[in-house]
Amino acid sequence: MSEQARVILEVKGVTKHFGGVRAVTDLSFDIREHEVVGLIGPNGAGKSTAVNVISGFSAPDAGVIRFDGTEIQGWPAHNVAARGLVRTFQSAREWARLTVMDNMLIAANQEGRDTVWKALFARRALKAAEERDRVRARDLLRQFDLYALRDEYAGNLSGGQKRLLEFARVAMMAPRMVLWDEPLAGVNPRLQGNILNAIKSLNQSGITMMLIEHNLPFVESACDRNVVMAEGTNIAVGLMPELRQNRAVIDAYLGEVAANV
Amino acid sequence: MSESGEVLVAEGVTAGYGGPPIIEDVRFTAHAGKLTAIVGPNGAGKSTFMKVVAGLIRPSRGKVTLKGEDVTGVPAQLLVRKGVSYVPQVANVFPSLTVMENLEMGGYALRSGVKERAEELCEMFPDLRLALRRPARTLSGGQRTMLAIARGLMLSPSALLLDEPTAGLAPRFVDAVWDQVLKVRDMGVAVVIVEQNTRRTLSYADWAHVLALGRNRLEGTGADLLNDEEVVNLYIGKA
Repeated sequence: MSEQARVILEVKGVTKHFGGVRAVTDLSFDIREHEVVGLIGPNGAGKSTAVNVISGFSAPDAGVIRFDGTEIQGWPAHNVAARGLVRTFQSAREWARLTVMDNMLIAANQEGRDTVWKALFARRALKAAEERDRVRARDLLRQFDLYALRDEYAGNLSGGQKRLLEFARVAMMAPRMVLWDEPLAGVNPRLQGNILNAIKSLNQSGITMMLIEHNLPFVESACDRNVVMAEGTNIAVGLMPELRQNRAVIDAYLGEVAANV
Repeated sequence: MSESGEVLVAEGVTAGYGGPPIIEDVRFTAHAGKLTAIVGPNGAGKSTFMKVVAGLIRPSRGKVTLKGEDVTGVPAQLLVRKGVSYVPQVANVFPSLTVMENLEMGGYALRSGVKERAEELCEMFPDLRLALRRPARTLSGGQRTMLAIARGLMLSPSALLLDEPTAGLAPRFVDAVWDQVLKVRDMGVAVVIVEQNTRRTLSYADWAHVLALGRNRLEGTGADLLNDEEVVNLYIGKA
């Protein structure tokens, strides 16, 4: 990451409460273009709520979320995704009854292909676009070691293969930025190296990323820097070695010592 | 009774929920009259391990013994009669039943003396005596936890397993619950506790096992681990 890279995602004073539960309170951080940033913190820190609010799956009570210069807080998820900010889920969400290849084609950018006019009068252009998608899908499936499985139903893949398909689908969507929600969940530890390579290769293709993951050694190898959350807000930003020395971070992870002993 | 007051011993326990194993080759010992803590970062497998010991999950490998008797895979409803009582983190009381009825449910396996045992526990948990006729749903979070612990003690178990008893409680209730937990230990019960607040737990624990990513990483007295830099490294992940 260069010092001059511009901010692509700005989160400022974001708050989300559920009844009396203060899930996220006054959360603020910036992410620069092409960065991979870890969002870490102890259980219950509010990380998943933060991802839900940023990706449009729930609306914040207060605060500003600016993506690529536009305020997107409160936008529905599909509009946020159309803008180029997509998220994944703790359990990979594939179309189980479609083939791996069809899963890829569905993920392709459908913009401008869905009018009746085009269907009737621009068939050749449409056909050419589909063929381009197919070629790209094949390339990506090769890159993610799924090419041999292209005609298999996605529902038959292993946990790790489903996760790799999710990565390939994200690459197919060609978003500006991805929010990964626990990409190692359900993945056999032996496949962690493949997941790490997939993250790096997507990042090298120019995609900015934020990564929520409780396996911190993995986060350390994948991320340029980390935002630490505790009790709903950001308490520190930095590299892992600095964070390990940070009093507030240690207290957040290990709790305070009992006063009455 | 095996030597040196060992109540529960686990060796080489591997378990999960059908997918990749959550815990692998985990060992553990809990002694009578001692507070044994299982701590570790999120995803360490603490609660999964506790469920194996409680008889709620059958391990794919490994062995659990209770006072020398092999109880691996013995389901919870039988294990409780053998003297292992488990208090889950949530849904640990019957909300529509009164406090007294909850205690009676805890004593369902007693042939006689249910009232007497409930009376003893009310001596120990004075808050409960004041609420005996109230439905459990009207209790505060702290009182509810007390009731769950008291119910777990109805059968006078030799081991009491507590899964995050202070989670979500207001600070003053946290202190009160810990006070009770220490009293139970001092009665001679082998108390096993899983908690999120690691330092606080270590400050009370006679012995603690630190798990990370499903494996044993460190063990020692609470006091020693409290000052061990390695514990911090396990939480704030050193690759």
